[in-house]
Amino acid sequence: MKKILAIASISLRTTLRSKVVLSLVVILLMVIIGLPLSIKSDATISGEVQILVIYTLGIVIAILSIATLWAGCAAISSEVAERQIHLVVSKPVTRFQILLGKWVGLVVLNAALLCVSGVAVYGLLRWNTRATQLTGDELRQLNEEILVARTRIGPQIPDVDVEARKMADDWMKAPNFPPNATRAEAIDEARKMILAKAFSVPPGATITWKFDLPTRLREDHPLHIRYKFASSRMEITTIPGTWIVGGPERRQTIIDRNDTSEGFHTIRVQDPVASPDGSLEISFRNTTEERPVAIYFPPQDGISLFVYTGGFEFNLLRTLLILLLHLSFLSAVGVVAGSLFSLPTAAFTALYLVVLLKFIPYIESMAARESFMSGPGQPGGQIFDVFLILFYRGMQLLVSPLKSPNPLDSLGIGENVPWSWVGSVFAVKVLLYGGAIALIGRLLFYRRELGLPS
Amino acid sequence: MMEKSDELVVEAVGLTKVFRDFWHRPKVKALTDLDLTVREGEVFGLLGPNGSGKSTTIKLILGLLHPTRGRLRVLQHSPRDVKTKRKIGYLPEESYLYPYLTGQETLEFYGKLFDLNGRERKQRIDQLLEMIGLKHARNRVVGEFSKGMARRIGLAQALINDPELVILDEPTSGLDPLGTRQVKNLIVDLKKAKKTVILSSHLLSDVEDVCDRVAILYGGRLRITGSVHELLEEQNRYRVTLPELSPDTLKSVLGMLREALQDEPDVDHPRVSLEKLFLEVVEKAQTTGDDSGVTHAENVAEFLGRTQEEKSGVRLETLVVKEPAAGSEPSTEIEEQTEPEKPSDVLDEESRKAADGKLKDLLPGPSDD
Repeated sequence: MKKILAIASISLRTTLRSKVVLSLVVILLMVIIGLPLSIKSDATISGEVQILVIYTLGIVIAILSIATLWAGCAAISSEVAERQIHLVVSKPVTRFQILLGKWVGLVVLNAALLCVSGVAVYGLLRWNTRATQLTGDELRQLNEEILVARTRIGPQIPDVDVEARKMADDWMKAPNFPPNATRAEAIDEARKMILAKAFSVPPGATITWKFDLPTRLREDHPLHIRYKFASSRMEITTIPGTWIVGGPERRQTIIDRNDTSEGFHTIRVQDPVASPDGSLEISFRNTTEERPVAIYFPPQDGISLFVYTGGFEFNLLRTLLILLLHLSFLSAVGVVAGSLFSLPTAAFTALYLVVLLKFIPYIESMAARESFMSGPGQPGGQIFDVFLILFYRGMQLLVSPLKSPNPLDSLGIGENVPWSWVGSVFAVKVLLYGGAIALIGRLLFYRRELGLPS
Repeated sequence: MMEKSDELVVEAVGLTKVFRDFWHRPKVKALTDLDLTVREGEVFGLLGPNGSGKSTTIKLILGLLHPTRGRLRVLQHSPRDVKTKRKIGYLPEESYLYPYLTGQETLEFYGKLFDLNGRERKQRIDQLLEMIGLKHARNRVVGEFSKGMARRIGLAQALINDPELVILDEPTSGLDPLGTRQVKNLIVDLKKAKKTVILSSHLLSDVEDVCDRVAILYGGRLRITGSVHELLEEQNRYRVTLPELSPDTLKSVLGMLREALQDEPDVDHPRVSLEKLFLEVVEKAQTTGDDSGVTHAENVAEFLGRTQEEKSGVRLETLVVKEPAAGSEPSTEIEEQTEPEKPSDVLDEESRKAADGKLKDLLPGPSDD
């Protein structure tokens, strides 16, 4: 351990004294202070906070990601080029210890830079949203909806599998069923259709969702219903509707609204009364009788309930931890690439891997396809199909676990970033993938001859 | 005589190294069928012109390169074994240090890689900095050092683990004559402490001064190996060094020699080496209190100047290499730490001129032939 820490500390000192860190800190602070001034928000307090949290911290992470990859790639490759590695390798140090030492150095550096950025963003956030600057409503919204950690609860989704299978089987019997489509695709399509119907509200109709409330509900904090919808008539943008919170046999809160079909809306509910089973019923009545419009709530995120869980500060900390874990993964990629190749080659290799991560949704959509080329009159298309299907499915298997939502999106809307999220990112990105990369790196770096003439 | 393998610090049999290109095609054969042994406690010189395979051999010994063919054992283990490296000290051809670290931090770092505890590390660093004459510059970053100062720090890092095998690649490169002398003294001292030294150098006089055995490589092949004494001694010739003689005595001695040899003997005045003259001038200057960037240092770090048997309690000693008479082996002796010895054979300019005049009178000049 002493050797790993010694290598880590040397990397840190070298980076600190070479002024790289200083210039990076200056750039980060310029972004943190300058970006909110240069981007125009929607003049709401939530818009202002989102710029600071989502965009500013997002750019900070983008800069740190690039810097981390570069520094990771340079950590060993520059020592190989300058031959300082000759002295290190001639000491009783394993190659794995060298890799780990360089990685630990980068992780500590990233932790420090994230800490500086986090403190700067938090300070600016508190300064920009100080009580004297805001109206009473804005202050309440800030304290109840943004600078908090709230758990998002989705509605109970009806089990539609049996119905979806039956519908798919009926489709397959129809003469116009596409010949290339599979039963799985048909079931998936049927499921989407059933759910879409279940989340649609025709004029004059009422839809009711059930939400399972947490057992330890803080009654001193209100609940928030967050929703968005689409209307069947594009020209009508403002839709009237009535929200009813609480079941018919309980005390109900009735709220009439006129909302646009753009963006999310929030309804604050104080002291809701849950059913004896711990669930809360929320209904929406479509009151567009005069100008009838059907309304559709997307099942994925069309309606959610937000329940207070904790304070903003720890939420920010957990978010920064997830981002640090992501940077740690990038550090591992960079360090291992730099241990195998010269700096430009290592940088391009590492960059390729990162670009690959950005294309995970595309890879997944390609992997879901059953055919690429084959069709009537295309000889050899089947072989090409098999190759592409295997390629994309292999890629999907390899990179899909790395797909994870951006915690900044949650932080910006006051949504809780739970410890379980931190744990899962740690398990996947650091232990599983970081570990695999480290083991591959160890094997290949051990075999590398570091004394080759340049 | 067969050598016991446990006495062999380095044992190479049929060692071959071929460098390959990106497509794995053979590009350069850097070393071919090298058979080499380095014995415990000897100073072994590795000689050869550029591209002869010296550095390749050293890199193979350090595990920086892998042999293409052949067998290589270092301290009875594979050169890539981490345990082997614990006992090796290496000074590369260039210093390859971290330019942003201070001299002290550099030694701290390498000390930690040897798992030395804090107290031991500090003691050794203090002694090493004293030894290499850079105690005053311990907090300066290495990037600001002159080549010679960086070389000294490089030397210190190579010795911080009190190694059994010290590999020095061009150790005197970049050093002034004073530093060169100190390094040579150090090598002799390491030998005294029963350490094995492999020395690679282009400066043949350095090698000749300190090495017990040498190997000469050319074109990746071993051309000759043996003890310096055996290789350099001319068995059928003699050199006689006499004190100052009166012209008559000298004339009669030369007459006797001419008569006995039936030939003209080579006679001249012994000359002091330029290195020795330089050291004398510097030593004189140092007595005035002036100093260059590197302080004068002769003391060998205490932890290095000890054999395994002596490590229980030793006094600080100064090793002085006695200038060898031409043709003889260098000899060493230990003295108490006193003023540096002044060479007795340094002549002042006037007496040298006078002596030269006397010889001219006695010896037949080129015009006489």
